[in-house]
Amino acid sequence: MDWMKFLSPLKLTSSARPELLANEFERFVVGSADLEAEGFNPLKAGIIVFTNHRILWIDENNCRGGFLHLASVIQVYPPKKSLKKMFSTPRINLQICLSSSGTPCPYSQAASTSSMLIHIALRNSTSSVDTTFSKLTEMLETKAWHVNAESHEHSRRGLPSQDESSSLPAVQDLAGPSRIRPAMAGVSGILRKEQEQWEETDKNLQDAFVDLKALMSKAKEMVALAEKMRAKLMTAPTTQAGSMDDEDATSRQEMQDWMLSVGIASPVTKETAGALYHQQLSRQLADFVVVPLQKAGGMLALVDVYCLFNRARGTELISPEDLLRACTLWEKIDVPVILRKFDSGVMIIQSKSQSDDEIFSRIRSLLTRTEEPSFVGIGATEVARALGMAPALAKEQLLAAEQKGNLCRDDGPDGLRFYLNFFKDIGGEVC
Amino acid sequence: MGDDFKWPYFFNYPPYFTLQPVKDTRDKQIQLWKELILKYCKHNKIFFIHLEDDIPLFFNASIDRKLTYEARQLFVGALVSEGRAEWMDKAHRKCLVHWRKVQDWAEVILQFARDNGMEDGVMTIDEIRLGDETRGTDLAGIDKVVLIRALKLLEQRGKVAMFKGKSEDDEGVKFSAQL
Amino acid sequence: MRRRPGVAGLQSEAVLRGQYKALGENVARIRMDLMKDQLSTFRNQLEDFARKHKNDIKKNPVFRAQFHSMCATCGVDPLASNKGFWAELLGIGDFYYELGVQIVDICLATRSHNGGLIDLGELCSLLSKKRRALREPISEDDCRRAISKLEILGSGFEVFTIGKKKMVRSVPTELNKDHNHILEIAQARGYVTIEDVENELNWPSGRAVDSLELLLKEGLAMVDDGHSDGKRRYWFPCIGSMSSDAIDAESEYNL
Repeated sequence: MDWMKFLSPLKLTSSARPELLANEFERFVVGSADLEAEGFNPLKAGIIVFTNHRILWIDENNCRGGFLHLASVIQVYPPKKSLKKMFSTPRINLQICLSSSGTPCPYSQAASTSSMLIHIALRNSTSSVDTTFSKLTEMLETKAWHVNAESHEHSRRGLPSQDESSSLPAVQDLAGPSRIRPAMAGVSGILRKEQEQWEETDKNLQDAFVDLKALMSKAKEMVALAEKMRAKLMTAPTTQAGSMDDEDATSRQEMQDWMLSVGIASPVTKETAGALYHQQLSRQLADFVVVPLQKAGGMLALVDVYCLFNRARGTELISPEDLLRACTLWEKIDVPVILRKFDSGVMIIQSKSQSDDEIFSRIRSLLTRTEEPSFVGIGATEVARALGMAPALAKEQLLAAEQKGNLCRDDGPDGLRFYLNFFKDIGGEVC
Repeated sequence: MGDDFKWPYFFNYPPYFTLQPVKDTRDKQIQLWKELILKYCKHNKIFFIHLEDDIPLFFNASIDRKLTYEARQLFVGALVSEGRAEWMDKAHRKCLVHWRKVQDWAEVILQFARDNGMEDGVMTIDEIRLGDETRGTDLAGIDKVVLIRALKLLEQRGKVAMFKGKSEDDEGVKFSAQL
Repeated sequence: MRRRPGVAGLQSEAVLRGQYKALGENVARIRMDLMKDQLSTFRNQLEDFARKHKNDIKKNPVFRAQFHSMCATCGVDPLASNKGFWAELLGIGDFYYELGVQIVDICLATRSHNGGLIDLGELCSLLSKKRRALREPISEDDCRRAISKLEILGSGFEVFTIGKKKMVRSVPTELNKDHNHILEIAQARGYVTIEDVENELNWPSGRAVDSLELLLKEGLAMVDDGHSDGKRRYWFPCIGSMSSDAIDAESEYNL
């Protein structure tokens, strides 16, 4: 195979400078590099220019050049480090996607194509191979030639790729200077670019942005007003009896509800019971969790309640904050469930009827089932199975029992297991 | 042997070919390999596995990984504990894989007999295994040991009567009138 | 109330105080009424906006992101509660709360493969697959927002950066800096050797081994002793598309 047939032809000026595409710009240049691949004669002593769209190879003396589009690069392998390699020419290896005719084509997971390895041998380069590699990686990630924030489907190979999620350019983008979108790195660049795109192509959204701005300025007013009101109400003096004036209480309640409507977070204070909405939700939830709790051995992770409740609801879902507030309010009302937080940060809801002591006694009976309890030990999976709760929560219970000094841990080859702490009974130290 | 066997994702992920030291991960690994062994044997109608052979099940050339002997023994051993495989020798070098349970084979035989009007009919063991009538069905190529066990089950249920002829080759069954 | 000259001197302090208090209450009541009015106006404005642009919000991730960033600047959180005007009129709440539920599902489904850590891009792509029928494209920004809401539920949901990638954690185990460094260098090939860690991070051998052992224990790493060079490799299923491949292969899992 001939390199010049394999690479796409590169337009050069009379002084052997490359003609760049719209919005393409040079990132860095490596002097004196060869291109190598199996079955090819090495293409020697050219200049390699890495742009944000392509890899250009230029033979200045003969005023000829070729290029590879970055979109056809499946993967770049980091330069190998070894003592041997220290004395040989550093190489960067690229895996290039090939079309059925054996020439480079844009990499797409959908089409099954072949690939080949090409090597860029850096001779005499002023910048180190590591820098080259990292810059190349950066450009592959940025995918300046095509960015689509509305990516739906993409799947990647088993080996890690440097690509972030976006889809690939259309074939016509590769052919030459066609409508190439502006290169911008980073998410904000993507957003900005997309905004520009939308703004120029879609009048409707132009209106939308204008309306959005107007809405937001009103929202800002609301926030300012609400803050003023809240400050005033919350610091309002109480009556001499020490309890709240009825009118004040109503006002505060109203404020809570209004703040909620506007989307301003307000703390649930001792005096207020939070928004009416949360009070009602609190009771609703208490009723809802009865059955799931029974099924789960008396304990459920809060995040699981979030999913269960919302799935059951279907529409008008509650936010995580709604859930947390509602569960927090259980303290104030008489319901058979409580919200708890473990040291690890995991939050659960639990039946009041199920106490830690009761759970521990069940764990203990599991541990003392055999004759030699000291040799048995128990892990989270077994507790979970026996008590009918989630393994993660079983683990929390075991950790909690350990904290209390009732159990000792052993982090062995079979994972984390717990044993009864006999020393506690004797009155000695916890192991 | 079918070439269209769809290898599961983990088969192309190198660490799954090394016995994992962490118990939870190892448990999951064992589970995945157990399922794969059954699936692979079922797809290729393999009844016996010789653990010393580097069959495609134990060796993935594309990622250049193969299961150690120890790993093979562990995974097969897990199947044996579950009753889905049997060691054929004390050294645990060869095993019989029950990718279909014997009682299920019995049902297959029964269904075949019903479908082909074999009530009161006779077939030799070899005919069932390798004959024209069973070509293209699940029964084609069934292992002899497995077949006989299945037939014995059917015999207990009164669906067949086994007989021995003059020579080994004449072993067979008579299907009862009521199947 | 108008002050007539000389009145202040004639009335007692207590009466005055009473009058001021009444005035204060009146003012408060007036402010409350004003607030009610303002609220009503705001709600109407939002309704108008929703009527015209509700669909744009749902269908356009970029517009949505813009919307969020403007809300943040104003000091409002449109996702704080389902009871807010935003959720009620724009339906933006349901969009994210449901996304949250789906994210929890996917994290749970992939946990046995990746140990509770998944690449944000991969999560996003799995989500998109799951939501294909809805024709409402979602962006990584949307995922991040949904996850940031899940954080307060306490099960360890968090988006954080390792190297150039954003990762999503869904288990309470936190990773320390050492672990993050290891994961970062593993991003190049999906695995590291002890040598890699020692060389690239300039660590003594013990530190590398300890960190890797912990990552193994947490189910975030797997060992590979099968390479012909004899070096043990530590692979990280959370890097690369292992989770996607795993899900794809599990036909029994109902995505």
